[in-house]
Amino acid sequence: MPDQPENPTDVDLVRLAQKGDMRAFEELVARHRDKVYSRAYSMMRNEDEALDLSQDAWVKGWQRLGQFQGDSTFVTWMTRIVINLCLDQLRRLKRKRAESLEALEEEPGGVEAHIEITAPNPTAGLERAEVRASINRALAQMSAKHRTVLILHEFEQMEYKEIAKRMQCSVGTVMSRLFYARRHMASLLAGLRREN
Amino acid sequence: MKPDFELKLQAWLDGELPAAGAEQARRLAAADPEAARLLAELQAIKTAFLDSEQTVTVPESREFYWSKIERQIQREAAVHPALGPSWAERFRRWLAPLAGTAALAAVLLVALNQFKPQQTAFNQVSGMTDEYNPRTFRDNPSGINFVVFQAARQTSAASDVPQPARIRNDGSSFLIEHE
Amino acid sequence: MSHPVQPAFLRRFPALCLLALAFHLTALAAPAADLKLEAKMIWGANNRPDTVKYITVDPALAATLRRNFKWTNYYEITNVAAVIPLHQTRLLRLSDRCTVSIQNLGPSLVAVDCLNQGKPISRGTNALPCIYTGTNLDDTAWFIRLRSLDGKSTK
Repeated sequence: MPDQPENPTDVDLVRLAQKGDMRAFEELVARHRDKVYSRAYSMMRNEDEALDLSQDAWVKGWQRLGQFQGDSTFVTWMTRIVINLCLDQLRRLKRKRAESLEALEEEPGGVEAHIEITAPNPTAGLERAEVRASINRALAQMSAKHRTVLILHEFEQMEYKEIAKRMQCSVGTVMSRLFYARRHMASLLAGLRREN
Repeated sequence: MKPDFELKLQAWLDGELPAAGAEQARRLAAADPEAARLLAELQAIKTAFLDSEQTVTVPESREFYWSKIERQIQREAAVHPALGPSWAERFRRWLAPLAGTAALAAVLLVALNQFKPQQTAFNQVSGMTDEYNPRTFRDNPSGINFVVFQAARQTSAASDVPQPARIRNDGSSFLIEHE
Repeated sequence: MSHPVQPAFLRRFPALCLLALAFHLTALAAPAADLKLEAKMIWGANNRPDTVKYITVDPALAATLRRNFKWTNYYEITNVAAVIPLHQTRLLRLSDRCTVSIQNLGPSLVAVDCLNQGKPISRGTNALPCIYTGTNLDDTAWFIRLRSLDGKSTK
């Protein structure tokens, strides 16, 4: 590659890719593909869909590379793209499986009233790896909208307003979904700890 | 505890309350044991999420994964040539002189009645039934485009060679009859 | 008064114009693009059967297939060559079950229909060279390689 330093940083590679250097872009893909795929998988919980959506995200990333200004890191920018694609896909998917909790979730004092505070610290006594695995298992058991709001807030560090914009709902809805998701997570983690 | 107050506690924990609301939440939490327990639970979950994300590895080789991306980029560029990074820069460098020659050539082609519409898509394959779901990728070293008829996942225990993720034994079979 | 230095692309412009014009005129003068196509059916397997006297494919092709698929050995079953005029279609029979219908769409571009016992299983366009593949019921694999033979001898 012309004008390429020996150990190019992401900034170097992005600069080259913005000039049309596809090999530089391929290197960016190689460096960050796991992170982007991981985000898609955490939201979709389906390997095939995560693969397709992560690849779509890279294609979009290439097409919009001129818009990347360096306000965030490149991988954060790419993660945002794949999140949007996952949200679009979730909206499109029709859930056949009945999710009975969802019928109650939007009612004030509905589901939340049924979850007792069982353990102030549901991860007490667990090793870090166990916590990680437990959270992953618990996320898999949640509905898509609750899993999404947790991922966007806890892993992506998004504020309520940004989550509301991306999920196309009100800030109040984000707050209640997040509250329910956290309470549900606590209950699931406590249950998983009892199983172990 | 009222749901509104529960959400206010949460918002306070997340730093989403303005200063006045935060102070009010803090005072109320200090006075209400149930609120304190709820706050502790929410805080524990918040803490548990710190550095708890599991990164999942892409279940495809680097080359295979990239080849599909590259192919899609090229396919979409053929349909929408304006897409791509820094199109203005590329235009400035190369397309300006070529634009003139392309225009000239187009005039000649039309004049000689040789122009015919051609398919621009260079790799579009679809299965004729739900059983056959082809996937395509390009092997860059050889420049060969592959079309793989999809299948349920096979185990790859028998092989160390990177292979397409999904090959199915479903009857899309051209079984060779041996002597 | 000095003239400003022109950017490089403007200096190249007249030469590029003439070059492109010559290229297009040459292309127009050439005869319609017949496609000399080779279709090769390949069998991929991990065992090496004694009773089957098929030849192995050339090492470069074998290396490409091994790089992308799990089978160890690749045998040439059928090799068919055909000349397909522009926009015309030819049906090539590669085995008892397998037929491919190929239409010449222009420079290295073909429309390919794969038929299994007369039943179409895929339809689409592809750039040459290309390989279609699937798995047999006995966990061996079939491959159909299509390539242009312009300037190449049949192998």
